[in-house]
Amino acid sequence: MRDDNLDRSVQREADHNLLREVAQNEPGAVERLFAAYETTISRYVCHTVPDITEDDLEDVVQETFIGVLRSAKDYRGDSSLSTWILRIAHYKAIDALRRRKVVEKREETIENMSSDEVFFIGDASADVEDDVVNAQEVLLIRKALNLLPADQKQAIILRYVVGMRVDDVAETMKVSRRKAELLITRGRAALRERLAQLDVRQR
Amino acid sequence: MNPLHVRRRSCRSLERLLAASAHRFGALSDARRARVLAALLDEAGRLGVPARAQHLRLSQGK
Repeated sequence: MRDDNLDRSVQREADHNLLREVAQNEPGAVERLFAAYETTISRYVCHTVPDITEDDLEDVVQETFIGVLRSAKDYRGDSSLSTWILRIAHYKAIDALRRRKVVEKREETIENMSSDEVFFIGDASADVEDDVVNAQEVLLIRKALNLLPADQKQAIILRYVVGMRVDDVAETMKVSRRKAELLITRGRAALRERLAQLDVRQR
Repeated sequence: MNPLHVRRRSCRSLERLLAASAHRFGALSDARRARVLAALLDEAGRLGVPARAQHLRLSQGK
């Protein structure tokens, strides 16, 4: 546990230094920030906004990073950088949802998406999981994920899609660790249930 | 029996499905990635030049 805390402390100092360099426009700092967080932000936004288009994803990722740049000088290192950045990404994703009014019609949209359409945002070169998951399975999991209550969905995305530790999930969502654990546990149970229901309906 | 059903029930954990979904989704194309980075560098230039100039002035005791 001490080593764990030490690692986190070292990481936060590195995060703080990176943001300071970004705020001062040091050469290479923006590129390092982008390389470190682009995939995380894209994955988070893609799973938060279920029917997002490539154009909208690009816009949201860009808006998130611009938000980070503009606020970089205010970062104090009180939370981890990934937590801080994903909070910004969350608000930008919600803004995108509101702008396009997809909340009301998202179920209908997902329902009508074909497997091919679902993959347009995917990484074509990514074949690591190809042997275990096919297009229809991914479609089902995304569909089920978006049937969860918003807080459970966010907790599941942060924990399993982004790969955050429970402490960081709690910090990002501004809830206690216990509450985060509860949301994850309930979210997993609800997701299993939704998957089972969707599976039955498919037959 | 739906083969998907069998596969998922028999050997796929929820975590692996979510990880696979993460792996498949959320990748900007190289062209889009380059475009976003260019926009950020542009924005950083606009925001950062004054900050850097101020930092240099302070470090030089001006």
